[in-house]
Amino acid sequence: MFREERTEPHFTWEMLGDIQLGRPNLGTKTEVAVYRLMQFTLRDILISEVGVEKADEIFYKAGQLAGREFYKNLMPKTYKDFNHFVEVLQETLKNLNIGILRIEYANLEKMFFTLSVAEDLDCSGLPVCGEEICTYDEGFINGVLFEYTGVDFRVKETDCWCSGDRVCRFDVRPQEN
Amino acid sequence: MITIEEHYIDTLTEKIFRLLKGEIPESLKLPADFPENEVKQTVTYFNKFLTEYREFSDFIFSISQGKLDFPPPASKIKVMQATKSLQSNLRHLTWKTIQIAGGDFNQKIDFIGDFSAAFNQMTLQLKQAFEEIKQKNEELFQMNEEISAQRDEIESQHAKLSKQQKDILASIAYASRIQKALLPEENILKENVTEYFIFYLPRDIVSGDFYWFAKIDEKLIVVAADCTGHGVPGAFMSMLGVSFLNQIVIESKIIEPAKALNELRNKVKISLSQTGKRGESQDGMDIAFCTIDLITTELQFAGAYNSLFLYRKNFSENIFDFIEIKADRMPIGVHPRDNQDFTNHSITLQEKDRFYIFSDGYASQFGGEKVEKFKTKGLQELLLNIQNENLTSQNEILTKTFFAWKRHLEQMDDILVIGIEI
Repeated sequence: MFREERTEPHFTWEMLGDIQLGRPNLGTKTEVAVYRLMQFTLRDILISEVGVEKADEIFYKAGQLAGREFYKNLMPKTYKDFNHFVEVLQETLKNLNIGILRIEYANLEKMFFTLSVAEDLDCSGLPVCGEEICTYDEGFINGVLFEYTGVDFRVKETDCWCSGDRVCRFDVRPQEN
Repeated sequence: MITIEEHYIDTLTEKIFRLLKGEIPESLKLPADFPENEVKQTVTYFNKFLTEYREFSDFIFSISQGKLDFPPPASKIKVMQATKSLQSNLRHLTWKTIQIAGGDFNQKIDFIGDFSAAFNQMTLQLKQAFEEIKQKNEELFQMNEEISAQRDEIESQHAKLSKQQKDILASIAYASRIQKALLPEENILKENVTEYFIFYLPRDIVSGDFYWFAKIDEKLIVVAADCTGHGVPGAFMSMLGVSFLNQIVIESKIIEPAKALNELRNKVKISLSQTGKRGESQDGMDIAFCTIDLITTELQFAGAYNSLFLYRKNFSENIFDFIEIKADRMPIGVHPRDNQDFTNHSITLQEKDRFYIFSDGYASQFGGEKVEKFKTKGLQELLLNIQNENLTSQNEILTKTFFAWKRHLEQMDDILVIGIEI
């Protein structure tokens, strides 16, 4: 299940297990620092093993898969319209303490969007290093939007806490190809 | 130990001074061959700060003017980060407002302090107001539908009523033709009297008033009758009257007015089953009945409520004397005195005598300035005043006077006035 060799993802939501059952005393939540500890140690090892570019690609793909599974397992399947979808997504991300999603711009005809995520789980409060590092978030947004729209979007972080900004801002538009 | 020329310090001081005064000075320039030392480093950082300060100024100025799409400069200084956050929030608020303006009142704002609560409260109130308006609109729509249905029903009923009215009017118009056909030919008068007029004006299409003439030997019989009611019921009664007069006068040769009226009363009572009991029909007619002997000019008259007016020229005084031959105060029909015979009057007509018989329609018409009845007295005086006119002119004057009196008021009853000069 977890250790089988594979050439494509085998993830299922059941792999997360019954957390309530497994942690009757400690509960379903943990510190953000613990989450980041795993992500940034993993990033560190990946970069040392496969380089920055490959590590980013892996994080993007993992985020993409997470976004799709997140949509399939934690969000409703029908919406009145795009605005309703955004409203539910915002509420779900807020309730799970993932981040505060905001739409800054939306052109539904061309499918161009500018999104921002404040208090982002991955990067808010990180040292300013002049880099955009939320590749996992980019993939996550791509995965959620793909499940809802069926469109493969190019999601690019344009501002990041690590580049000195207080929010992470993402430019979203359909892939050119 | 670094040595520095004093004017570099002066220049740097001047630029900081101008910055504090609100200006954005030009960058500080050093000669190309300026040595790499702490002074050059200080100047480089100062120039970098100036550049970011200039970019920040442009950025915050644009946002203050509502230009939220201004590309944020890449800078790590604290005020720039805060301003970018402000820009992000404002753009998000703009998008939210557009959604709300589009009717999506479920949009909410989080984590922007008191503003979030105020904005969300405003959205909630808008939602409630719109829902109220929507509900009111639905109610109005429902009411409108009901009103439309009622209007359609009324229009349908109106169409039915219009058709029925049209049919009834067509029937009455046809009945009018029958009634006119039953009225006698005026030739009898034309051929036997000097002058005459008949002012006949039914209130409705058919009339309860009718006139009747006959000539038996050298006796001319002239009748003016006013049946109970007007319109269709009056017309039915008039047809009964005409029929009975034909039987009495033409067939039975009863030409003495009082006897003819006695007979007419009997026939009406029998035909309408009038025995004098309560609840029976009280229908009948008022009538003026004249028989004129064309040889002797004797005028015999009997009347049921309707009298006869006679105007006689007093040649010596050149005036007209008025003579009224009064009718009996009982109708043709059931009445407490209906066992009494009608009174037969007789008078010999003189040259230029004019007599008039009539229904009560002219006298009972409301009008005039005080909206009162014209009255029998009024008719009597009117006729007196126009005795110098021939009878054709008198008819015209009676007509004009009637309409001038009535003005816009409704005609009260059928009208019949007959004037004759033997």
